[in-house]
Amino acid sequence: MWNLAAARRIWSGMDGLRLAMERRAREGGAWALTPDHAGLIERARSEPAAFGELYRAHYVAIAGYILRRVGDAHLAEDLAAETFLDAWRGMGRYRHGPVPFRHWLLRIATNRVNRWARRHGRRREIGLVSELDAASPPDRPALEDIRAVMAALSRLSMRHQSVLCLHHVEGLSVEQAALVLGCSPGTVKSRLHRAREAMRRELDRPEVKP
Amino acid sequence: MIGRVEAELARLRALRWTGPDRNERVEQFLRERLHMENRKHRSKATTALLLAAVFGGGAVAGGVTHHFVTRSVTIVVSETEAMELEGVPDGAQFIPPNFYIDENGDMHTTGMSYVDENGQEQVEDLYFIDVIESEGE
Repeated sequence: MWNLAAARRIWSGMDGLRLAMERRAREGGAWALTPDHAGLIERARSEPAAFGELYRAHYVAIAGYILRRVGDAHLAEDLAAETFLDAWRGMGRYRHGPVPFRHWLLRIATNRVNRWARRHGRRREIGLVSELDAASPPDRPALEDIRAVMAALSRLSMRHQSVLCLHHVEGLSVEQAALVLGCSPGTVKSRLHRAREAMRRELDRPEVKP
Repeated sequence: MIGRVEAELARLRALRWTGPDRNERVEQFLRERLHMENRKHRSKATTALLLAAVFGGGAVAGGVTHHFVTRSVTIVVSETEAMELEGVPDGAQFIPPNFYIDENGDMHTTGMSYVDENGQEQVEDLYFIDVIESEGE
């Protein structure tokens, strides 16, 4: 027999499951695990409240990706905001199905980061201190090492930076990276090959050697 | 075997987002959009209430004379948007202050706001209310 207490227990259990799924989706490297909600995406084309649900589900992951691209939390926050505002404006053009929603957001974020990097040149200050402080000590690489890797990466072309970060930092498969970059998996493979060569040359330069 | 480039790039994974879960700029933007949507809906609801008051008066008059005529009324909100009220009794005779009937017998209302296709709030001084058909007694 249904009663209020039983209904509350079931509801609170479902809420716990929802929170667990949200936490999992927010963790880095969970790009392939996030479910798409076709109904919510449809409503988000015109309803700010529905778009708000999508934004809250994906914000931390997108902000984290941008942070790993630019190395500065404040800048990442700004670029993440612009990414979601771009997404709101572009919802009418998004076709649910071929490209998962989070990959579409990654595409917008990648374009935002690349546009910002082109405007500010390849050599830029990289502020990492506050972000590294939060990493657990045993896993924490030396600040200088990370700074050197980011500096070497920042000297590559935008295409090479994007493909290396999506595949080797974010852990996307070649196929997923192709969806984000809007090209074929074959193109991603050849671009990855050239990007790794370019990155190796940059790392070998004495001033950026970790 | 993991190459050197892959190993170096893997260091960047130590950078985790530890900032807030929400972005104030996006939240503010969404709040503004919601506010505009609510205003739009309120505006439509107010118009519907006013019309109900107008035609409700007519319904009372019609009831007294046992002569009901219903019709549907279309409120043209913008070029692409219209509201329709069905079964409105004929004989509306109490016109609220922001409604008027011109010399051709057409009904208008003033000062309505709506959100256009670009998301901008628009305030129109004048709306034409199109009485589209009579449905019989």
